[in-house]
Amino acid sequence: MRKTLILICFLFFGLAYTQSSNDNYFNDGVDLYNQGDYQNAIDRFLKILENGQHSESLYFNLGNSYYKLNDIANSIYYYEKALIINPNNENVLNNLSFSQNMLIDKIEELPVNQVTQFFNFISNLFSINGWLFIGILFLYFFLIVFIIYYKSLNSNTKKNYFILGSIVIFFSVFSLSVGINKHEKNKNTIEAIIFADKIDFRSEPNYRSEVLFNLHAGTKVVVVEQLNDWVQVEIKDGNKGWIELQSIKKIK
Amino acid sequence: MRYKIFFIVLFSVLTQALAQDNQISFIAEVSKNSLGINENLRVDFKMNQDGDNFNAPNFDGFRVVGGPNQSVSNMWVNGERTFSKVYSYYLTPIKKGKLSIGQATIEINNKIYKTIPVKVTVSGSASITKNPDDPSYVVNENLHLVAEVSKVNPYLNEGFSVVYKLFFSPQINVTNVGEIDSPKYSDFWSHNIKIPRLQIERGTYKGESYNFVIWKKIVLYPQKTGELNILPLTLDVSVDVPTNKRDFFGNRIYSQLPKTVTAGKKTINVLELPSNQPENFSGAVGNFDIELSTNKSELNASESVQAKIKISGTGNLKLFSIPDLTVPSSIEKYEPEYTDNVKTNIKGMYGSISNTYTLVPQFKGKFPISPIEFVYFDPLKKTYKSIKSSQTIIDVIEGPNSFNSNNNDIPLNNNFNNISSSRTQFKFINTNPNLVSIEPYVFIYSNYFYILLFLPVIFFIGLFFFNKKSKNNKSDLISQRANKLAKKYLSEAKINLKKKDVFYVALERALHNFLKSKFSIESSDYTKVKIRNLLNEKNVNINTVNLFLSLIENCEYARYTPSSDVAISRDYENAVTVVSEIDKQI
Repeated sequence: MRKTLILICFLFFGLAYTQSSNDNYFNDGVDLYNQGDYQNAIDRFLKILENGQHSESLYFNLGNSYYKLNDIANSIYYYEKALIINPNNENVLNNLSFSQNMLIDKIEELPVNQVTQFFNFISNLFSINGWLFIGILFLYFFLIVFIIYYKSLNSNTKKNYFILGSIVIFFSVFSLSVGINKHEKNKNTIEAIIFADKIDFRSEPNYRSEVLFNLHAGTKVVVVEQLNDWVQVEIKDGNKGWIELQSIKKIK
Repeated sequence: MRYKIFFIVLFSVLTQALAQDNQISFIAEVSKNSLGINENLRVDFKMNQDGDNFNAPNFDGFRVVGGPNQSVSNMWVNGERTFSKVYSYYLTPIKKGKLSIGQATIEINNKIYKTIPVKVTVSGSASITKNPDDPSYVVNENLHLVAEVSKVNPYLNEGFSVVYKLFFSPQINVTNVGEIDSPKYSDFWSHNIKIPRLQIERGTYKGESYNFVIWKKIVLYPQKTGELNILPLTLDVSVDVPTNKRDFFGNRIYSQLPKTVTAGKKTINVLELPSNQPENFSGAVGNFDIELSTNKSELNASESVQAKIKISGTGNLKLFSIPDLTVPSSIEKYEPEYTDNVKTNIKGMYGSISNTYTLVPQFKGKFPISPIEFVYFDPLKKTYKSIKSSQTIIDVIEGPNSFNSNNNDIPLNNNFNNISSSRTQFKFINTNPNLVSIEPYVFIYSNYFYILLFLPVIFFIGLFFFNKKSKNNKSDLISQRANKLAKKYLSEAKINLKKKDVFYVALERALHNFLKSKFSIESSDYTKVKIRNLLNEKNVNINTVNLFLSLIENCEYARYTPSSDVAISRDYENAVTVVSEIDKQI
């Protein structure tokens, strides 16, 4: 009993210790960045990641530091990581556009129709967990409304609660399905950033095959499939090709 | 006698004709039957009657160096005509051994005549007779054309030079030189270095001192691998050769002699570049340096900046292309302007070539121009070398930001010391850590998720079952409520069910109390009409209203008229229904 208590205490303090040391690393990193010592700032920030913690700000700061060092691929990589946590972060989107200016390749994006655009906008309003919590919250709200509806004998009250209940259950189902849909989509799309300076896209996963086109570091791709040391990736304009696995870094 | 004369005439005519026939000859004559491979041979095809359609044989194994020359001679000696026509060829044997010169044909008096094939033996090179008095021998000994090749086995695209020197000994004088056959350098990139004035220099040839002039200097860059031939250069030289004769003043008399000299055919073995060719090797062979420069490092968007790639050094500068400039896609890049400053000397090309690009950035920010890699082959070290230019960064200070470029149409060039909107700036880092564990909390499909999701569902199912069980009691439920109301209002009336008078008084009071509590009206001011209006206002069913009113009527009657027990109990039940109905409906 006593032993367990000591262990729990120890764990708790240990956790508190890493927490505070990570905060120290973070603050050090911010100071170093401000002094213009970007490489050391990056070292501090990366230590936090090694310790198993992260945040939107951390990735944003890493992206900024790499941008200052003109490392396009790393900078875009960390901005994209920040956007996974919060897809609507204005600061990240703003600075990402600076990094994207440095890209050598210009890829025409496939036009996205209005409906898809709208759905993406809606789906990006909250995180997956956010959508699910909202859905479940609405579900419980519905439960309360239903009980009131059920218990009430007055027909007017019943009518009102019926309408309210319908709206609430609609929102609940909508939020849950948006959350699940977003989760499935995220699970199936593995995004990656090209890290190799220049990479040939081939028609087959071997060096004998034809080179279709080539791209430079920092371009975002979507991994379609993988075969040994090769991955087939798709770029924003819909073109596909095989590239070496080690030339890209998966965002998640 | 007449016959005799006739025979004589006939005979003479016949013999004449025969003699004439016998006279036709067509023969092949050679100047010698055996010769050295370096000697020439003359073949004459002779005929003593003029003929047509002369066909020379194929001189297999020989090369025709001269001819056919035609000569016709017509002689009259003592009234006799001697005719001869000769086709002569000058031949040089190509190979050694026994060669035969085939049959030539000619048509004389509609008959075809053929020559007999002639056999000729070609042996190894025969030494030229050394006669020091023979001017041609003197010339041969004292005049040499030499092609000096600086490198016999160069690499592909490696420059080398060929210098043609005309050596002549001090004994002879060269008066006039003309080029007969200029070599063609078909598999080479060639550059002729002009020689402004021929200058006689002193040098040695095979250990003897000679005078020489440099006739021609050529720089060659082989464009093909393997054995390439440089065709010989042939010069026609007029030479003054001293003879043993002396003129009146005792000076030697020179005899002028034309002479053709040839610098032998040279074979160049061009080596292939090593096979471990780097991917972006452009074919440059030599020793180079690359430089990337921009004319400004800071500018505003939509201004232009010049970026210059310059490759300098020695090597095949004109024979490869400059690697392309790669810039971010948000910079507009225009076609480069090519300039070269390449000179060629005997060692090859040297100088620099450059491409100047005009760049126009569109947005604000930093734009790196990636370092340019240039790969060339160093023939001295026999390795590929890769050099990189330094990276250059163009800093665009003012301009639209690509992120808001679509909705940002604020004019940028106002004269105020404008504080640019923070939206267009590169944002400073975030100072708030907000650190959380890197392991994401996956709520979806977790146990909590299912529990939270299905708890209400289970609740609904439970409710459903409970509902089903008590569905039969639904009417009871309603009557329960009615009982409650009846208990509240009609308890007094119920107690007095047996006593008619008391019952109706209690019932009436109960109904009034009910209305009072529901609509808060004073007991003094309600009449039937008023009640009807009131209930109609509250949207109470007309039947219920009627029932309610009839009950009140019954109460009023009952005070004055006797009534049966049955009516009492029925009125009580009606009262219960009416009260619960109204309660439900408002």
